[in-house]
Amino acid sequence: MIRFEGVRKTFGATRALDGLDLEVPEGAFAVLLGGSGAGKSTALRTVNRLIDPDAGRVLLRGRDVAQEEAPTLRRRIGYVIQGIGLFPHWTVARNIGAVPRLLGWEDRRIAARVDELLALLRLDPSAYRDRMPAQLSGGQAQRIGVARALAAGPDILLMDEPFGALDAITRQAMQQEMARLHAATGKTILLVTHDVDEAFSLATQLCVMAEGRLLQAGTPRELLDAPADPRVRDLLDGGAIGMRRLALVSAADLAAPSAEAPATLPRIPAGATGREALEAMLAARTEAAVLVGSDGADAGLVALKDLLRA
Amino acid sequence: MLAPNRIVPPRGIGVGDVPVWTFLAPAAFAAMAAALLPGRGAALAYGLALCGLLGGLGAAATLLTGVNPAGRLGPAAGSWVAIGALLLAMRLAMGRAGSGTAARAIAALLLVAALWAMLVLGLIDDLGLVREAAARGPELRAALSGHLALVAAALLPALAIGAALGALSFAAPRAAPMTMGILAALQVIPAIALFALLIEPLAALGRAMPLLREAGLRGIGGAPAVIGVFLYLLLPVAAATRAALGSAPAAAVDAARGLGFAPAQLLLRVRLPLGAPVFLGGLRTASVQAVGLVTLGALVGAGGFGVLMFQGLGQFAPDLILLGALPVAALALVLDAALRAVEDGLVRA
Repeated sequence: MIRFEGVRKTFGATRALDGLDLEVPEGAFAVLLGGSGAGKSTALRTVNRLIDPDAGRVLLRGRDVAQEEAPTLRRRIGYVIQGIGLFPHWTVARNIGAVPRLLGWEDRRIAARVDELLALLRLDPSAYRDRMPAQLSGGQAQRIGVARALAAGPDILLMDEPFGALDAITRQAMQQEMARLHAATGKTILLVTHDVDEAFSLATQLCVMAEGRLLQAGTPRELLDAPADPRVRDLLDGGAIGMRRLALVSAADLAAPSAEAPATLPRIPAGATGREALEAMLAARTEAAVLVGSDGADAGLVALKDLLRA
Repeated sequence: MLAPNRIVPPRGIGVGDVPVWTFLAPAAFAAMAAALLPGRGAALAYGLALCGLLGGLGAAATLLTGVNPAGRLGPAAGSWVAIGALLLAMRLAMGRAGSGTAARAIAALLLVAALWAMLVLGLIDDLGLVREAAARGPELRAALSGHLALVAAALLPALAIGAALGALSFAAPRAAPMTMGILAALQVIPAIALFALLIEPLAALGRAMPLLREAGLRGIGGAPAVIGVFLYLLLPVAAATRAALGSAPAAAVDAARGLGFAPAQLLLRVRLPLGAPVFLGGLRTASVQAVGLVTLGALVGAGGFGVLMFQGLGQFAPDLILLGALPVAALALVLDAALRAVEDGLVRA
């Protein structure tokens, strides 16, 4: 879907990209993770030609992005940034409809699309469509930013630290929202972050970058189990690797079926992660926890030692 | 202050010297009542007090100089202070009432209408200033049209070229310090010196090219004033244009680019609408500055209200000076208020 081939870019004396090779498959939630100066944002911005590489090329569905006029290309690609960048002089509806308007859609079709997107982002269309950006909270504004990026139905979404300016609680809510949107729409998403937790909670493909190159790409689990480079291990944070691994497995996968579970054991939902199971056990000072299905019946028993298999 | 004619120095007249209490007593009463009234009621009462005061002055003028058409009665320091204080009190009362631009405009219009009515009713006909104005009707009209023409002749080209220079220095930031530096340096030259400096080159140009001379480009007259004022206006217009173009939030500009706005669309749909209030602010500064600077053009023979002011200065005739100065101040205030109203409308839209 998105393919970087030996992409290089220097700004003055700094080498932002130093031969980046990376392939993002269709439908992936790819997260570019790295410290500041790793070249993540530069890489992202070569995809919609906000930056043109000095050497190498970026392919979308096998086609070099440089072959297309930048504005036309960009209208097919969603773009969400940390600063949100809503147009302060336009209503929410006009902001969301910005790209469809550039594409010459009819007003009625734009209006319908705006309401559809507001509903998709769980904002009441009648309450929000006529608001001005200044009347929105940070989280609401970024939802509108995401809606605006999705308006013309792009199949790729570029997100440059989209939740970096939000408070921790809003950030977490937006991360869940994006995971849900990704599952619901199947779009290919390329997201830049320096937040390891965010990367782990969102990525289907985690791409760790340093000094303008790709260090390793793979599923979060692959990177945890077999870091290809000490810098990958360092970035993923030695002390937390075990907990991160637990967070990536479902407790149900580790559980044994159990007919009679003692009532004293803590109950957790069947969809809980291994990490949540561990937290429940530590909180209750027990060596096991019981999974409860959506019907309320005990669905299995996960023991402390089961977690070691994670 | 009373003078038997406008040449001899005036002597002071006290409130007790003329029986005009029919006007002054209600005026004093209205001013005192205003202190007790809330917001707009107070503003209205202060306005009435002002009319009463002027009516009193007018009546005094009729009593003292009615039989002597050369006689001149004008407000002395005390009356001026009272007039200023009442205007200020009115404005403050409006502010306390939380009145917006529209309400203030209506109040100003009401005040002007009241003055007009007093003039029509003949209540203030014999005031020195009004006598001076009546004697110089055609001159006043010529000064008004001349002044406006000079302002327009300097302002319109300055808008076009200043905006172009501002846009240029926005688009090419490396050229900005030089462009802005030159325009700022022009501001440092005193206006009269700039006009004077322009006389000789323009005269030479006129001698060399008689056609231009026929077209009005001479060393003396409108040309040096218009060109000088034009040069002064370039800086506020260019600076405002540059600031306006740069006033869109960086994130909105980045988002617009990333979403596929072409450069012209970014300019027309994002940068210009977001920068319009900033630009209008600069235009307001430039317009007010133009109205003031054109006054000095009278010194190089350009016409306008400056002619009356400098004549008044030369003849030591305070009424004549005021006859030139008050319209200039009024013109500047009206322009400022009108452009401010447009600005407010834009911000709210």
